[in-house]
Amino acid sequence: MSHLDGSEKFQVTDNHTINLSPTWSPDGRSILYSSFKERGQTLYLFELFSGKEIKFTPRGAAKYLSGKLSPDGQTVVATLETAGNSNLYLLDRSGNVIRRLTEDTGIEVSPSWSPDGKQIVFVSDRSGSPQLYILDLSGGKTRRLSYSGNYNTSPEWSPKGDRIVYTGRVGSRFAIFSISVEGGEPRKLTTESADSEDPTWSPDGRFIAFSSNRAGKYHLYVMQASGENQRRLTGSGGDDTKPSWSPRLD
Amino acid sequence: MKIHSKVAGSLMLMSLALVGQACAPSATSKPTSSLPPPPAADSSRSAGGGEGQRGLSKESTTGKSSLDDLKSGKAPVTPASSPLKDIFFDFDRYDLSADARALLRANADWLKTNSAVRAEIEGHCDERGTSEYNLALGAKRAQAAREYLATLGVASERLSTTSFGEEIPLCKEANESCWKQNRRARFVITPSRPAS
Repeated sequence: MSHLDGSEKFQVTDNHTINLSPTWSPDGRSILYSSFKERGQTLYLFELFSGKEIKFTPRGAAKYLSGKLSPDGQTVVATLETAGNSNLYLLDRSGNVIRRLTEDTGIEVSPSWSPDGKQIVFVSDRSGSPQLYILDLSGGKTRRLSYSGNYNTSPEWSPKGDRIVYTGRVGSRFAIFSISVEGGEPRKLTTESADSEDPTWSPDGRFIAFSSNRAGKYHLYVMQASGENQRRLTGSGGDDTKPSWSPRLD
Repeated sequence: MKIHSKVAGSLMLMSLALVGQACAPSATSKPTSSLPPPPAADSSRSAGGGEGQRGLSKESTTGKSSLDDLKSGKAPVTPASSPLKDIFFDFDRYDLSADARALLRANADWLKTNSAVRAEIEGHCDERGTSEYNLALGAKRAQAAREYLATLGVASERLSTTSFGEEIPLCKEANESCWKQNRRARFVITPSRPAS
């Protein structure tokens, strides 16, 4: 965790294993992340101020790969892998399953809520390659959003609700794109001279943070939502990836 | 209001939670840059050599899990003497090539000879793409290997699966010769359940 300018970086987890996919709770008081710290990968909801942690325990040999709290903070959309199939589930804050959201034998991952909590954008390979889809939670209908390119992943819905930012493959490189929630032609926001991945919106929707290996190792960068004024945020000796921008904190 | 541990005062209006080297120790051993050799035609016999685990020798180990290797700072290398060979995949694929099926047949022979052995199949990916998608892709790869072994007569109950996605690469260079070594399923012998 660090300030936006990269200062005062400190380590949140210290368990000598792999911890992945951190996302903030809407109130900024907790972080939901996945970890291998016990046998089998699962999710943990860590309360920053109390140090308390809730483990989400899947049934049997199933594993939670990632999750994200809803805008009202009351539910979690999570990717559950069982017997090789990854599907989306709606959980309560304690990790209890409310209902299954997708029924597919392929890969269904990386869900992100719309600001009103009524829709979820996610990645599915049901067409034969990873593409973006939008699920309407009230009606249960799913529509495909991305048609350009054959590898589109890690979407995040903008705070204003009008666009979705994601990672797309161009040739042998990965770049950041944004696309209207109605579909259409995406905007390419980074060049393909290096790999750029894992975009996340600022709370006001004016900026996007992402990871890129343009300087060798992966570091975090920030740019305007238009793709202009890209600058580096972090410079540690290792790889910095998968940023998650906090909500505005009072 | 204080944040747990040492973080009081560090959270400002906009902070970033990130995954970096601070959260996961890196393997410090220099990764290998050559593909493991294919199994010898008689490897299942020389390595196991008997019913159950009686014939397991020191040379027939598969090594520790890739997560244990990571924790101890070792590269997740399958020993050349391992009776269970890695199989490899194309980019963003989890179907089994002819080479992969041949290696799995040899693995199945050894597992059937050593019927008390249990193993975990690890699915791995190269660094390209996003971590969450690669975790799911690695799970697909491990499951594909498990299901094919089942068709060859290895009980699925003896095999568990896990995915490390792109998180524990065997080779860390950014080129195809390295990436193809990381797109693999690895087999690690796990302790047998105690007799009931």
